[in-house]
Amino acid sequence: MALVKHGTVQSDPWVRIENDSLPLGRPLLLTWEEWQRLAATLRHWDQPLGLLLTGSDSLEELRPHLDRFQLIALDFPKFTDGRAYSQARLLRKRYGFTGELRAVGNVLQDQFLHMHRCGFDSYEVADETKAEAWIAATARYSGFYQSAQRGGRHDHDEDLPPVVAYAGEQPVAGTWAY
Amino acid sequence: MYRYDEFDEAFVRQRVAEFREQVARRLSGELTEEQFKPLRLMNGLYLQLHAYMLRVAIPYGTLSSKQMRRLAWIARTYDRGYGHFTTRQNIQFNWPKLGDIPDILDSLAEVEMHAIQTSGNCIRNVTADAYAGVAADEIDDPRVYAEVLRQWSTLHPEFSFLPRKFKIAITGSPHDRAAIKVHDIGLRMLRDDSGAPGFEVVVGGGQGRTPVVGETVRDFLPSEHLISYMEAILRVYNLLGRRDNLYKSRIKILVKQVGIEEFRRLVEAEWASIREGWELDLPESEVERIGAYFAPPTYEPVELIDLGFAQAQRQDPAFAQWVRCNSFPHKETGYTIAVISLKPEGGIPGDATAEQMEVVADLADHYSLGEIRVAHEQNLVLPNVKKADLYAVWQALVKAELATPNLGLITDMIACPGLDYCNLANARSIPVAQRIGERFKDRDLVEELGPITLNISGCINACGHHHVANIGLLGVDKKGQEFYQITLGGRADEHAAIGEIVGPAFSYDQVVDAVETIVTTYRGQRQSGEVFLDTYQRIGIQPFKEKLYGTR
Repeated sequence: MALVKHGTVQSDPWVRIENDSLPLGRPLLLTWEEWQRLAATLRHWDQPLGLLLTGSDSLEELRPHLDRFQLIALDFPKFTDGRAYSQARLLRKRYGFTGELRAVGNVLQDQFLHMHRCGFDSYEVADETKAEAWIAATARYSGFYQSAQRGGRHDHDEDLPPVVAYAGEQPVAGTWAY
Repeated sequence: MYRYDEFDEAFVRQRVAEFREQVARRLSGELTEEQFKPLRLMNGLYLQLHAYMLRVAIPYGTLSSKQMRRLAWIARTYDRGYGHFTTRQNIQFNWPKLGDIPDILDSLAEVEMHAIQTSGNCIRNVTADAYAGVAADEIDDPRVYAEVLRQWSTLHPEFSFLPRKFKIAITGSPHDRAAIKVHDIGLRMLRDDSGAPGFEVVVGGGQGRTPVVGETVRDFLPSEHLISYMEAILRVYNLLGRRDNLYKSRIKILVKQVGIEEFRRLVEAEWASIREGWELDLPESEVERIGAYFAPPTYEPVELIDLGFAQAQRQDPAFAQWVRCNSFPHKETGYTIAVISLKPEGGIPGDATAEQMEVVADLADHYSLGEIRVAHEQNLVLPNVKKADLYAVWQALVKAELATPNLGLITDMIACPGLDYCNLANARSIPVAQRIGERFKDRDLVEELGPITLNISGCINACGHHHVANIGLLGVDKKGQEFYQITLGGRADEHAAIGEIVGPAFSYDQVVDAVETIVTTYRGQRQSGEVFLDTYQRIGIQPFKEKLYGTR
């Protein structure tokens, strides 16, 4: 697997719990179930924490814990399963999550653009050549009908940075139909 | 009509460029058919029994003469000289080559057309009353909001991978000509007590193997909240709709599963969060910008009493019959809405040749302010014809074999492509429609029978809308033989209802006789002033069963 982030291939520092042992000194990625079980244990954990969510995990339950996490990974069990698009938008727009939002699972280059527009900023993909495809996908359109996270029809005057330069700015508010 | 600005233009061009690259990756083998499938479906490209089929969007069924000429050109250049107008007001080309598709899409883009989201699990082409903006009985023109919905739903980042396809229809008249109650979302425009515009929102209707008449989720939605409310419904559906079973994935199943009360609660809660969190409602300026494109044309003043029109009808009974059957009241005095039936007796419902498309385009230019509509019943409409011009229009239609006087009558059938084209079908639809057309070719008899809708689907997916026909035929497979199950009493209007199965299915050879038996039974039983549905509702299904199957 490779990680595409902001248009470049990057190494992935995040690790999962293996054999019930907590890896020391590394950013730790937990499932929602693991977090519920280990929250107390991790109270003084000094490394970044991340959360791996499925399409059926409740964002409302997670909401009070959100500021503990630097990364949230949303799963695409199949590329046709689009629940994570809604989760991403809710996390960005409603819950104000500003950390890294990562697409994992069946992440195809032809879906990059939708993911990008919903607020994802990193992508776990099958091979490294996909970084170029990501740049091409996100630069394909000069604008959209919905302003979504970025690039909407009514955002023309807002002097947006080029789409590929996006690196975690605050989301752009849409004027209509976001 | 809506006209593209630079933004729309660039958007569609970029879309074609993207798909051109995807087609190249498929042709080179980089993409497997399975990987290519969702991409081609997002661009209206199906793989059918014999060939690819391209479905081109005709947003809310509105076409200019220039666009119609381009469709004719595409039919002639890349297909076999004809196209098929569909129940979703689109057009399908049945024989394009994969390698030609990007060029076809480029050609469409030149006339502000595309095939985006005419298939796939996304928000499909929004459909509307084919008489929008011109019907005498209209409260509000739905085209402005249909265009708003088109823009809102196009490449929507969040709602492009829904559990299943999603269809929205909108009507501006109390009499529903857009079948809104059998759509995932149906919108009926109305006004509140203060005269402010809004919508009744109907949700969870649909056909297919689980036919459902939609339920009202909100009695009155102020029009400025249209987008936020649509977002709320779509988000609830996207997160909670079933994804484990193709046949249980439509929103109608979710609504049935949780109940309309709970569904309403979920939507209202989501809607409240959207509205408190961020702005996404429709600014008045945007409604005005789009609305300007749909401002009524300048109608020329006409003589209040046109003797020529009346005289032509007296002298030419065939013309008089066509006027009686195929014209509809226009809101402007001296004008009429003329419907061009694509259901000639013995023909293929919805098909038009390139030459016929060009005739219609010319007529639109000369007599209908350059505009054409596609009706969901698979007919074409000239929305702005002066009554004084109608005789000339009719004469041209006769020459082009487009003057069948059967709007809303038994031979005005909706039929899916069936086993002749479709790999899902169990039985043929087209030859059955053709045989029924032959059987009922006495135009005076057909008119005398009055309004009867007869629809044919080649399989349970119900693309031919058989569930909501007065007489519905459903093709089924019985041990390799084509059989047809008959339903009675369905309707797709504001009193939408699902038809009732009359009994065991009939064979391909028997089915036309069975339809005739139903019609004969109705004629024998009807009372003065009744149409088929009136008689059916008064006497019930039993007399039809007895005539069809005997009294056993």
